Amino acid sequence: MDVGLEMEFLNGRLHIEADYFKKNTTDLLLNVAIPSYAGGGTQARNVGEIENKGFEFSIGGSPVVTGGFRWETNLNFSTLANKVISLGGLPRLGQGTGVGAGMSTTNEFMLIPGEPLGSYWGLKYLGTWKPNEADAAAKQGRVPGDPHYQDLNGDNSITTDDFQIIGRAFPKATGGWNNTFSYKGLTLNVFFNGVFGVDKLNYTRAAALSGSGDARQFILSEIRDYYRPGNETSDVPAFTKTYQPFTQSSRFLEDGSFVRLKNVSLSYNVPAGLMHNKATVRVFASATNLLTFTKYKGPDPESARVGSNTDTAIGIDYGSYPNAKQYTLGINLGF
Amino acid sequence: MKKLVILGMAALLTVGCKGYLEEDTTGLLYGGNVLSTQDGLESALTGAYRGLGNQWTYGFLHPSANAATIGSDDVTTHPASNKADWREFDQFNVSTTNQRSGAVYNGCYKAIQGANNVINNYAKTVGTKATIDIIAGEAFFIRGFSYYWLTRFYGNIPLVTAGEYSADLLTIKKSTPAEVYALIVEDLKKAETMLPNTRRDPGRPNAGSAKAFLADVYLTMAGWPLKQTDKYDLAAAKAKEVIDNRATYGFALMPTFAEVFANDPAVAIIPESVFQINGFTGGSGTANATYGNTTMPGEEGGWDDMFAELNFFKNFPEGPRKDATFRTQFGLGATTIPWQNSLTKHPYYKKWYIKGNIVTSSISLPSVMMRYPHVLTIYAEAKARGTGGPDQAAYDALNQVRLRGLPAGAKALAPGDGLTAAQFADAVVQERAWEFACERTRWFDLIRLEQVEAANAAKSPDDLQPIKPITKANYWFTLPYTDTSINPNL
Repeated sequence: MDVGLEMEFLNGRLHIEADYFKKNTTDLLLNVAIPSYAGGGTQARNVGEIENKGFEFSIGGSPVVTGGFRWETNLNFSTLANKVISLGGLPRLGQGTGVGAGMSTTNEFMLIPGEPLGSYWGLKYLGTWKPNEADAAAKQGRVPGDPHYQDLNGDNSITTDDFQIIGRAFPKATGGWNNTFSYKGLTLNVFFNGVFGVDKLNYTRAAALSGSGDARQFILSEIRDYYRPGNETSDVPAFTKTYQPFTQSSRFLEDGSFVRLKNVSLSYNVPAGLMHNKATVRVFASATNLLTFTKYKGPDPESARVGSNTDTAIGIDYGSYPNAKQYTLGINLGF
Repeated sequence: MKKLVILGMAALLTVGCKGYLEEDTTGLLYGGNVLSTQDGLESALTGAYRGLGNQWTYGFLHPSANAATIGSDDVTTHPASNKADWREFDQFNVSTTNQRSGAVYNGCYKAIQGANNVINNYAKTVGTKATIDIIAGEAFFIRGFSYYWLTRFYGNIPLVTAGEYSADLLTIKKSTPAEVYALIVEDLKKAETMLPNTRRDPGRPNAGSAKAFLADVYLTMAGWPLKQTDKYDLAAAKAKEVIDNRATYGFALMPTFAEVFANDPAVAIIPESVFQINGFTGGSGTANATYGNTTMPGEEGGWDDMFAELNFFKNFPEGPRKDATFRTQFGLGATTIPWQNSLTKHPYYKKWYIKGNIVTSSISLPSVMMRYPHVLTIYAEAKARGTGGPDQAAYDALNQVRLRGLPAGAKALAPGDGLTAAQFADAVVQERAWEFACERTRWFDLIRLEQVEAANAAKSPDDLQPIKPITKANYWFTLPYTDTSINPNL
């Protein structure tokens, strides 16, 4: 289903577009895991139904047209909510990324009817055990300063039975804002894009902060804040003999929302009269990824994922290469 | 010199759309077609071995099985670093996503699947009957061997005897250790009659290997959890059969302990090897990582994965065996430091150093899954705990192992020393601890004799401690989450 509205005002100087869509996809082809005792691996099966719905909104136009100056702008914004409707009878279905190297201990994503695609599966991190919680910590064999995970089933033991949905890998909304300013031969283009309401599982940070996988030392400056006498408010665990880290926890799940100045470019067409012959000359300077506004602690909230880069397993940052900042200077000559 | 190169055979599981596609399974290691020929059966068997040895992924060619058995008192690991999955075993806090025990689990079931394929089809194979029987005998051995590891790790497990996948397997229930052991004994009994006295390759079993493992299985069945004490006599008799026919099977006790652990990649098999899984650097994922890096200290470029527990080292009797077991001076160059001054402040296991102290994690050396002195000690202990108590042969068996490890001139134990049968049996168990230190043996001894708690109580306070008091629940690991999350009946 798609309902849309398109409007234009002021001789085309303002246009607005709005859409609402809802789409159900059935007979999804998903990889269903086979137990190791039965051969392991996965089996591609047609299971389940997914619902996608959302709004798309766009507003644009030419707010300023005066003299030789012109500003054209376009802002678009879309939301997406998806939901697993059914898994063909399966109560849930894990989807992993195969990060390996001691990082992922089990599937990072769990498909559960009623929940969105890209639901992170892991332990809920409650910070470090505090001095006044020593008794409760002791029941789990821990001491204050050790990582404190939510013991969902209350058996005083942190296991995969305590795993739950801890976040969402699909952004709630995305947007873009494009602007072009022109004055005589001069053109300035400024483009922002943004992603909102998304969690990223920062395995890169986890590896550098938990002594897991191939990283054997704590190598981020964040570790200086570790829990110790006088610094008991810290949620960076202490160095103890009962320390047991789980990388697949909300401790390393971060808000991956960002707004980024994706592109800015300035160009100038040298007036034809200035040249002796009939050459056309354009000089330009541009920069991509110049500014990023985010709370994400990794090098790049937008960087590529790892493992099985499919719709059902996204959003994990494990040593993924960040998008580069690029500066370009150029001259176009035409004869 | 022949080397068994285990090639990976991809068993292609295909899901056909019946009625749309007629499958021609020629060339696939699946279905009745291929297994009707002797070559096909042999290939399927090779695939079964692959489950036991896939470096870093599953099986026994990397230190996963070592990690999973460090709840014993001979081995520990780094208190920090990236050893969380190792510490879980030493501290009795094993998560269901632990990839170490998981690697053994996955590998054993891979091997079982391959073995099932051979076992369920060999009767229909056309070819030389003598050879087909050997192939099937090896498959029975592999299946018995794999289930033996599985039930000792996990207790109640899915007992799969089908070679082909069916949807029924997704809801299979667990079988009890009694049911699993019944199949293990049955398999090893078939293997001992079908296998030849001389192994076809260093990495394959012979009749003696099957008998030796059967003796070990009986010894374990006599202890926890089954406690079928009548099995002690069977264990002693079976071990005696191997000892009496050791020349036939090519087993021998080597003159010095140091020779056993020379770890020379040029030597494919040592006379003490009862059964081994060969590592080979020439293949893909076939090299062995249980030597070198894993048991070397950081000071020598090692990974500090496993090293000796302090009290175990302290109590270890002096002699050539102690000298060859432990590395106490670290440094590969001219200057060395004593273990007390090292970062982890523990002695390390020289046993797993490669000849020439090569620093690597990929080497052409075998994972020896049982040594001949193991058989000697099975006999000595089982005889002592069985009908009639230890005889002179039991003393001889123990003395052979014991005296080789002690300084020249050490006194042999004799019936006249006044040990009761129980004291003698305990002495054998202690001897096994020294002889097979860091060889994935002590953990299983402590379990079957219900001594895990006592052994861990005697740890040095400077070693890692159990996170919570040890109970019988810690004797087995919980089945891997990968499987319990799929099959609700597990």
